[in-house]
Amino acid sequence: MTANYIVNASTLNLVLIFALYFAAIVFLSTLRIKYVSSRKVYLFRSLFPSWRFFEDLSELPVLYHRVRKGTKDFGDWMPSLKPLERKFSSVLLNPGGNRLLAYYGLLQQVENDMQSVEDGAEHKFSNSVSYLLLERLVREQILLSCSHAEEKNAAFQFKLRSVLQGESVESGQDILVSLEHDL
Amino acid sequence: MDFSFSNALLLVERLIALAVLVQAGELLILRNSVSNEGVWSWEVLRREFEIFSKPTQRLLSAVLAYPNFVFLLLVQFGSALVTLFISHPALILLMLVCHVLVCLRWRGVFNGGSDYMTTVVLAALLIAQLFQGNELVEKGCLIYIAIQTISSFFIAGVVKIGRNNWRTGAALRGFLRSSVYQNPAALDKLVNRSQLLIYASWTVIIFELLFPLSLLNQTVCLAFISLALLFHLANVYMFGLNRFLYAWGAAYPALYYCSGFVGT
Repeated sequence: MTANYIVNASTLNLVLIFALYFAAIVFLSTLRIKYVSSRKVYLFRSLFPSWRFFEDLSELPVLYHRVRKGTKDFGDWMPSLKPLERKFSSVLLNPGGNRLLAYYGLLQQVENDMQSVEDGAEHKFSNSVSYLLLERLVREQILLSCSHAEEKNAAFQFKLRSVLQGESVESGQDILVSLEHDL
Repeated sequence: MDFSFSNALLLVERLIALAVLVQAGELLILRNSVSNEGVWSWEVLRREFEIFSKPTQRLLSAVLAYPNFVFLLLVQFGSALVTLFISHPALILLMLVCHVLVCLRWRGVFNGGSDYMTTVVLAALLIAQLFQGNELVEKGCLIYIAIQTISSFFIAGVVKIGRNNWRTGAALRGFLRSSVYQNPAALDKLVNRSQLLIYASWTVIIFELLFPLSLLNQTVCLAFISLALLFHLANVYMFGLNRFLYAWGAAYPALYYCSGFVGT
């Protein structure tokens, strides 16, 4: 396969302009912007590419839940999200894997939102969109793993434990313990 | 085969249509997650959009609430399917608008980097289509896609080489251990071999930093694209990032075309 090129002056100018553009985006990407304060910009961030992939290890939130049936005490804390098995077909289509990645994205978002809660307003967090989504996620995972007979008069609680990527979950610390919710 | 800029644009268009087709298809399979009973119920999410004006909120509710959102995904799927065979600016515009709305429904992005690259390619294609016949604009769009592709590797390499834990292999070990997939025992053993991790980390860093050399000539470019495809496949296996393969795959014809400029 060969390419035919006619590189005239205007094309050369175009290349030079884009070379400068490349230098500018590389320079801008080295600036560390910690947090986008505008929620509107945050929601439209698909329009502003960021290429800092796998930059550094970070604290990863791990989700746990526990269930209380009837008047019994709460059971043990259980991991809410289970790792998937790899499939060759996931190269073509990977809805399950991408949903799990979206769940982890939600956990990350909850952690970010918690950091922006002002002192003294922690109680309001349980009414935030992130918290409510997390509650729905845990409820969904519990319902997927138990029979309908077990659902009656059941309640659940969840917690987020922050763990440095690659480290054991025991080394982490709890950053959020939820209220009790009816199943 | 004569690989002119119009051929390059056409190939980019067909491949991004395939990427959008896969993305929309996956979300259609996951439509329960956005239903009123699902995790991402619009009834909960709509509060996040109260920062917009009332008319904008009404408009967003009309498009993003369930089951209308499923209709939006079907439109996205349909426009991508047609674009596999027919070129028209309206189809590119439809795919771009649907893509931005889908990202909005997932609070900004659904799959991070692949969403960014899809936006880059669709936006550039739309401009190229709107200025069809204007060679300078069409070439400019290809160069834009090529530069974003190179940046995606180069910037990732720059930020990694600045990190001590990447240089020692510790970061790679951490990322591999925190994958959403069960690691087979053999892979766990490999992850615990420090020397191997150092080699693997430096291979990734050097490959990403050298990626701008793909512009040297088309032979070098093909070599880099082949390595990049292997890199994407490894990422699918390790982290489940299949969407990256499609989104970046759509950008590579633009890179290949532009690699001829420097060589000429």
